[in-house]
Amino acid sequence: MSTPSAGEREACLETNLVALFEKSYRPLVIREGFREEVARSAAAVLQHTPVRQRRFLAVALAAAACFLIGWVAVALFERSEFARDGILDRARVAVRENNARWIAAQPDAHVVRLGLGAAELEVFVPSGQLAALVCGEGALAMAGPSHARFAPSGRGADVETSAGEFGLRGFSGRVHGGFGAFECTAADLDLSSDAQGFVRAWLSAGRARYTAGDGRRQDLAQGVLFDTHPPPMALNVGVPPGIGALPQASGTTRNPEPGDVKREPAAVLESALLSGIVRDADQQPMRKFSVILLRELELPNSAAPSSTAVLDPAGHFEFHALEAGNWTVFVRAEGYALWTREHVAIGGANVALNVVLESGAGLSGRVVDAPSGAALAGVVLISESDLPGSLLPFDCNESPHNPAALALSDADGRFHFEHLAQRSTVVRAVKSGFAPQWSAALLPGDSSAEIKLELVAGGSISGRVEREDGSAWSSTGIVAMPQRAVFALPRRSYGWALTAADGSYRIDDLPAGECVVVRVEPTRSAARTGARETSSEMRESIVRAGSAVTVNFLATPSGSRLAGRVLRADHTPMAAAKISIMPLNSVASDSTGVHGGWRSQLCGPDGAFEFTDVLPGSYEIYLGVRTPMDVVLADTVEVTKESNVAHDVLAAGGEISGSVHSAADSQPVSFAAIVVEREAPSGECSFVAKVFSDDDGAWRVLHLADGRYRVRAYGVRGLSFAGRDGVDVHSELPAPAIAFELEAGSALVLTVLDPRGAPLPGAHISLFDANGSEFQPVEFMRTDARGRCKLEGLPAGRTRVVVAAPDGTALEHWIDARPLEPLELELRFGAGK
Amino acid sequence: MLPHLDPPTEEAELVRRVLSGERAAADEFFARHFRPLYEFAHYRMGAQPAEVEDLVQDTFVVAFENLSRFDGRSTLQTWLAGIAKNKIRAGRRKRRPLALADAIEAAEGDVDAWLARVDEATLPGWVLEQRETRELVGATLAELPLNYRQALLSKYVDGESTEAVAQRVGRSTKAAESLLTRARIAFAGVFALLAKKRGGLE
Repeated sequence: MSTPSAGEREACLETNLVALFEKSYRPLVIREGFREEVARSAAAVLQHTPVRQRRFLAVALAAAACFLIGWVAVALFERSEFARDGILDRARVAVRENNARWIAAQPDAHVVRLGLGAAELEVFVPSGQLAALVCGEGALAMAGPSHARFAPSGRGADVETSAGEFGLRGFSGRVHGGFGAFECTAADLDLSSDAQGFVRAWLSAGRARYTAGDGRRQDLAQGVLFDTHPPPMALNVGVPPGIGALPQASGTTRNPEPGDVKREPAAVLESALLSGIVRDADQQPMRKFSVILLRELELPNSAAPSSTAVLDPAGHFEFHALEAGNWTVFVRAEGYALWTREHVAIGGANVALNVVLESGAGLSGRVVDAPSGAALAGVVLISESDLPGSLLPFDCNESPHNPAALALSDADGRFHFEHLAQRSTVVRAVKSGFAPQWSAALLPGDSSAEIKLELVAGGSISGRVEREDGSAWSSTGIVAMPQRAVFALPRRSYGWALTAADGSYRIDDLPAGECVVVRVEPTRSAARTGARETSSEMRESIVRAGSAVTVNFLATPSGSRLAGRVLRADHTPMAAAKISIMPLNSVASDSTGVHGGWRSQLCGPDGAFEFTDVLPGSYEIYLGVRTPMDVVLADTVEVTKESNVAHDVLAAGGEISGSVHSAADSQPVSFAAIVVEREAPSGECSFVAKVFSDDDGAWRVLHLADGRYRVRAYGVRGLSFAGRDGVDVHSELPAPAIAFELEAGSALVLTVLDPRGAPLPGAHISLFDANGSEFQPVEFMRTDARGRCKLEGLPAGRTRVVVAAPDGTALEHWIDARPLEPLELELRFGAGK
Repeated sequence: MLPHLDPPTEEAELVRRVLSGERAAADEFFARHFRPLYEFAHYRMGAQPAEVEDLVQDTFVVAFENLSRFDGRSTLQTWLAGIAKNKIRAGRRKRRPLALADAIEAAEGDVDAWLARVDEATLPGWVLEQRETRELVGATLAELPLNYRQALLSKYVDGESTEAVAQRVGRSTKAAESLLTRARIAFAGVFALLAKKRGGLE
């Protein structure tokens, strides 16, 4: 080719420029309003406003919030009845609290398919949630994130899992999974895994066999951790097929260690290379994508994700010098769903990932104003599971690491996500002037997954923050977090504000319900680790729609230190007992059952306990009995204003034991709640203990003081309750034994209306049997926002229903319940029935 | 389109007005430099919009904190780009993986071979339709001096005549023609350089 002349070059360039600018030039789209934001920041700099300081403050606040919210989550988790060692126990609580629904016992667990007669079932359980299912005579619990398909078989059920943590009790059948941890008791199982999968299992009773991907079989030994987990280098799942075969899963056993089943796999040695190949579904390398890394930390610590854009024709990426430990790796590209791999162990050996990006699934829905039904435009919607990270402020209106996780409603209130990962997610809707709203768990791509979100007005929290000397505390952060966001959602959402010069703050548009409010000290908290002493910085409140509640952080004298030992009746120390204190007259939350001010801890080997910052007042002291779910009122204590209050707890020596069986078939009833109340000479009863029956229907209440008690057994699965009054306990006499037989019960769906005919929320319901004896078959006896309350386990015969409105007025009604025949009743104040 | 400023004196005057707190001057500053800097950062970083926004925000904050130190020895655009480059470099040190700037050369080799000859051969239609070509046009514009960029956009995007360009920049038609010629040559040089670098052709 000859060299062109200068004139030819100029002409050629002119031609090409015209073509290039016409066909190839596209001005970048810059987010609307961003220029103004930058201009404001810069203008603030010129005005000597410490912008950078404020930016630092925001970053520090986020870091501190990260930590403190994690800490709050841990604190609440420990105080709730969900703090369990084993998934079976955890699920048992879930079932207990949702005993109306055995399938998908947690309301947010997502049952995707339920065939006729429950012939086929597919369940997704989102992260942080539990589901429990009954299959034949057995029960299966799932801890999210997990996924399983069920099909009945001659032996019980065939279960196919892709990943997750499972608890199996009295379960017979085959379980095949890619990756999974199984806690099995009284089981008869055939476990198997894919060639590249692994299984960790703990068999406490029953039989189980494992078949590896290569066909080798091995029996599981009871009481020994069975672990096919490959060594860390086998996480090189990125090695393309045929290039480097993974080690075949093989059964190995070793001596069990406490907490083995829940421990993270394989300790890491040092930092290593993380690399990968990113391809599309046609196995073509992706040229441009982003890799987002999130360090997995144990609560209360948490980390923020970091994103790196990659352009590589071979679809290759690599990271060096990552901190050793477990990471979650996300990969995203425009037009594709977010790819996620959790628990990638970095350290020792190099890790290679094989990433295949799928286009994902769409998800559509509509947002309306709940009262009027009018469409709402401009609502920010976020698919939480598609958002890398763990924290999600309410004022987040962009999804920095995955734009596909975000949508905006149009003028008709309609929104659409195009590329969501095909796994369970929850959609959050936020608009100024409304409370955030979350969808139920759903699966993108599911034809039934078109969702409708109805927004209602939110509530506000405001207050004042003072330093210890009583002066206003300005520029400190306040974080408000709905309790639901702590436990039941993929991401922890929160609202926040900085205090003004006079120490005041206000956070608007919060969802109604229980809320945790935390004062955050950005400069110190971010660097703090294990700072349990920050309990004084947390408040709990109930947000009410359309109104503002006040939560102050005022200068108050710090509380006392309450310390002592828990001793048995013979004055020997009770090691590792769970001790809890609760202010007298504390009121339990309607929805969570958590009592305000409830604090728990495990005693030391010598029975020692120590609570700090205990405010003066009267406290009840509870002891755990056999499981963390069981509680017995052991003592009371008066905490004075003295700095140190010493108080030993002497556990009484009385006990009651017994069993619970079904009257219909004499089968043992497990999970029955045994409630023990102390009878005063006047006939008044006061709560003393609650325990649950075990798999054999047996139960035992320890540490009872001498006296007379009333005992109630509340069954599940539609069973009624049974009771025994006047049970005398004396520590020097043989323990009374009570065998309860539970008849089939009935259910009542009660709707309460106000005099205008509108639903009346918050009305309290009391039930009395024909003898006038009060009973409480379910934990929460209040009407919900729709004025409804479902009461199960009613005994056959006449029951008096007493409804007390929040304003103190009451009405009553008699019902005649028949076994297994649900009743519906509508009561209206001021209008009779 | 904004009028052309003759560096360094007019830019120094703009800076002085900004520092004196004149709101209109600050607006003009942003109107002139915001988009070029954003595009510069975008093509240099190849990152998520949020990261680009962070960098742009930080660059302007640093620039305004140090605006009194701007001595006029370079253009404001060069000065701003220098701050941004330092920040990009610092950010890259923290994460070693391939970033767009490292891998901008990772396009199709034959596409870049065509693009590297922008003043030697007419580009075929399929090359013009490539995404890499679009990116390269944007990246090239982001690297050009502001007056060259504005001249090219006026001429080829807005379709202005040379006379109109001359009138807007306050120069003679001949001077505008000269500016456009220099802008075209600069574009071709940077464009070919980036294409060669990206395609590994050097």
